[in-house]
Amino acid sequence: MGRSRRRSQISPILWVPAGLALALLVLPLVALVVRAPWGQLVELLSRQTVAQALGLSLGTAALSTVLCLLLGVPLAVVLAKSINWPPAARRLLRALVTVPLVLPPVVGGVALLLLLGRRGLLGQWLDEWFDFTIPFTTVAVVIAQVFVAMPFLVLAVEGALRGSDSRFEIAAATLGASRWTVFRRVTLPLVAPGVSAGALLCFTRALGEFGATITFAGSFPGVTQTLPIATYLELQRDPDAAIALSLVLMIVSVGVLVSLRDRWVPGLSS
Amino acid sequence: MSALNASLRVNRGDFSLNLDLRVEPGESVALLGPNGAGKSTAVSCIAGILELDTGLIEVDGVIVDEPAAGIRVPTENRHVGLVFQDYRLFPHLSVLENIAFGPRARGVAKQTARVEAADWLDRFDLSGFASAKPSALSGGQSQRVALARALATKPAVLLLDEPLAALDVEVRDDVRAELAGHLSDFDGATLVITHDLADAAALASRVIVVERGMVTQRGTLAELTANPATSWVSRLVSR
Repeated sequence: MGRSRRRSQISPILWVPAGLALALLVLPLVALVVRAPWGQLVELLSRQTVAQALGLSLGTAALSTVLCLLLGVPLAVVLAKSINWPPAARRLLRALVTVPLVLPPVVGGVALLLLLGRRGLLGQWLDEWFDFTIPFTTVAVVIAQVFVAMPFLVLAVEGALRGSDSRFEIAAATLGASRWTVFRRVTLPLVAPGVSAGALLCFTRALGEFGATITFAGSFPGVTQTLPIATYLELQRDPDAAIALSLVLMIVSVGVLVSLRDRWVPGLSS
Repeated sequence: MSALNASLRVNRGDFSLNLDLRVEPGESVALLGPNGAGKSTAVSCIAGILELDTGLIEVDGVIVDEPAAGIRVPTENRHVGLVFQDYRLFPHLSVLENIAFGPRARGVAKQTARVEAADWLDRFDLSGFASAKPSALSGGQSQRVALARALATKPAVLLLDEPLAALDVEVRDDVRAELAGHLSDFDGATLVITHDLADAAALASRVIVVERGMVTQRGTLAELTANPATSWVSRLVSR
């Protein structure tokens, strides 16, 4: 008892760096809230460039999240079922999925250009056969967002699938359910909390995406100028507008975090 | 033609199962044995969850597993119902949807399946729980839902894996009597897995005793009691 009490006591030496760390994390956000032009917020957010960026960002991030769900859930299933693969193959697949998580987004943007640009590996054929170029279009915005946000969804869903209970799947099979029916009516609903947590994280990441987007899609107002890019540009022209936009992004992000509080999320679960 | 005809041969390291059994339509047989005797392995094989090494399983005259002939019908295509020891009601579906799950999975239209399920709930005295989630049910109610869910698929063979083991001792006798009543209405073959003589007595007309993967005695309960073949059986009947 005395031992555990001593262990739970925090040494004063720890308080100083821990407090500094916390201040570093929280104070910038406090500054943002304090300096926000609350009185003009509605007026600032209804300006054309701002409203345009807001609409574009919400639309593309939502579309990216849907694409991540459609493509990422099957990938998560493959990953979760790869238990019987050779360990090297499994590690490689996992690493490939995780790369965009650690890659600087601007590198992702350059890589996307080299693949899908007018002279890119695939892009040159798209250009030649279909007269279709992706870079610097809204399509490019969505592709860049999917590239950076997909791992969040895949890893969250994979974790949920791995922790799910196969007893119910066996029970469903004894009732005559095919593998697809089992997946659709039992497996997926049971991991729904993991899927929605992954989708929320994915949406936030897509909404905040900057580096890959500006590299691969540029910054054309109404076409590729998303909220983070508009914020960066407004900071030179109209700091108040930039602060208002930052506030919107922060509120959305914190809102997602709050809505996830008890859900299982890799790295966020306590 | 037997509803269930099985020669189960399974080898798993130091454990091997060697069990022949036949159950006729409308008949109920108990597979009685101590823990670890291989009863659950037998159930898993018949349901198609585990593969046989050699031998054969025939359901309603159709071979569903015969490794030597390369035949293996997957779980979902065998007409075998299984009531699990832990029930395994789908926690995200209502009681009604749990029962409708089997018929729907077998291609019955949604509305028809729901009507059928409501019918089962009536028969099992559970009408008030149609829209309840399984977590709201007592142990005995959960067991009835699990039984109704298995029967709703109209199986040729019904397997009950330790159907009363998860229940509190106080309610076990009531639930057992009720279960016996429902089973007597079932016209397929029933195989009850248990380690409890009272279950075998109430739910089955014939007993197969399995110990360490081998059949050690077959007969009616009266024959077992009069003439126990092993020390385990003799201890069980003298209790």
